[in-house]
Amino acid sequence: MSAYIIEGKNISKSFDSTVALKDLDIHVPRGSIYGLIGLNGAGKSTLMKILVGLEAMDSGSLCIFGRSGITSEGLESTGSIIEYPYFYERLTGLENLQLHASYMGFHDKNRIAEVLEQTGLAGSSDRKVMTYSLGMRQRLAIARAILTYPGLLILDEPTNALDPEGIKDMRTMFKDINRNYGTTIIISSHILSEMEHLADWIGIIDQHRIVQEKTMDEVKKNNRSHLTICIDDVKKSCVILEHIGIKDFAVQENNSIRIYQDTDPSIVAKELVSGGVSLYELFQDNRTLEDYFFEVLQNGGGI
Amino acid sequence: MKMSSLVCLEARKVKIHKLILLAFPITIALLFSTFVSIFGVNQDHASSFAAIIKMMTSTVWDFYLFYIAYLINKIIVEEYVDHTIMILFTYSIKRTRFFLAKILLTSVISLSCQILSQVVCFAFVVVADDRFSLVNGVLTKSNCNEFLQYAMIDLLAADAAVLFISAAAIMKKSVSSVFLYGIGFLFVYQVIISQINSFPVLWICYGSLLIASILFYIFSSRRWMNKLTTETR
Repeated sequence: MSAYIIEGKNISKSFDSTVALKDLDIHVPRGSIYGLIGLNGAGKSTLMKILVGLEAMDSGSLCIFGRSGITSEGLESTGSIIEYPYFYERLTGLENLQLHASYMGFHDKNRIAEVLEQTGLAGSSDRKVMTYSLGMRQRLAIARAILTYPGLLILDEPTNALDPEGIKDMRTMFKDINRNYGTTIIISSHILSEMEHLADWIGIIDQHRIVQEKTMDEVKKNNRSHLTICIDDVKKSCVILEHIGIKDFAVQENNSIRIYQDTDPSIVAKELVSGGVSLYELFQDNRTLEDYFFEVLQNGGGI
Repeated sequence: MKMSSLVCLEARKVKIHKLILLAFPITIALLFSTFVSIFGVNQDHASSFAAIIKMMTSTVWDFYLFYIAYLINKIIVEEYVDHTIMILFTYSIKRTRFFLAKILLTSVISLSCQILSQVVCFAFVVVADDRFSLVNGVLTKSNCNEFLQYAMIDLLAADAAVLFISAAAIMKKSVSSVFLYGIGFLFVYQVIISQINSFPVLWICYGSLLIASILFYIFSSRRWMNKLTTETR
């Protein structure tokens, strides 16, 4: 059995003359929460539509659940939210879920009540969907996606329109689903801080292809908060830093050094100046996934 | 999943009982228009039962064409307009089966309601003639056979209309286009029924129309079914 639940190679897709995906490679490990991040128009939604069979790729190969292409067995084990939480507006939330269960051939009535409870919609499930707020629709879409215990969840911006409490609840729920049922989750979101808390793999999509796939641990390792110093003499500065017990640092281009070790900036400044080094700049850089993301985009995928 | 289950799910989605109830006001409107048109067209009491039956059955058909267009809007077009087609297409069921279920539901509902209205209107004409002496001559067994023939031919034409309008719905994905194509089909139906009196020729004409509609449907579904949104350019 492959380590990847989704494995795509050279996936390309164009709409008339507009390129949506170009030679995109993707590898989503089994049992992971894979965060897909990218700017608007980078191709995230198109990729997700291809993964659930809503769009056909022009070229490339795709393997899901170890089977080539989009198969009915694969779709039976996939839950999804694509683009916007669409529903049958004149039906109630409950009726929409019942309908979904029927189409999926899933007949556990208790489960519907369970997901309604989990998503905080138990009290409003008898209301028509047309009366729901966007946040409620989003919750109902999540309820529908997780209803049948899917092996793979494909979620395109699932926390859009949710309030901070709702986002936190959903994050906890996705983590629980992933942990308890081994469900692989591929999720896109513009809220990068949210992704930082949720995902254990990150795929950065830029210019219609995935430019980087890394575990969150690797990202964090490459993206540690640090103290940056800009000096005139790098060699001398390194000696001074080692002298005061700082070992975890990296020399950068343009006469700058990044100190990853937790240290007092005032001591570093004092030691460098007293050692005869000209210190031009010193600042604490508290790095987030957002900083990392933009740095990757600037460097065309490499860090 | 069985086709019957798919049809039932389609019926649940559109709350079909409400759409079926629409057939009652349609039938009442038809009774009124039948009565008025017999009075209007046949003031000299010269028209025979044969002519009246032909006029009545085609009037019923005309009304039901709009009913068919309305059903197709509810069952097919709204899936695209409301983007719920995106939910359907993520299920592991063949897309052609979804549409077959939709067409079957539209056909069953519209044809059953239409035949019911035809029978009610025919019974009404017989009763009204008995009371107001509207028609020249008496009702014969051959008139009853003619009614049956027209009713059956109309069902054939209605089925062709269901396929033709469904194909247009899949192609254009808009309410106005569905009604426009429906009116176009109505025009073709009226041209044929008004010019031809021979039943075998009518069967051939509407049979050909059905085949043409099937071909149009196959072409349309292959080409446009998978396009998720309406063309904006």
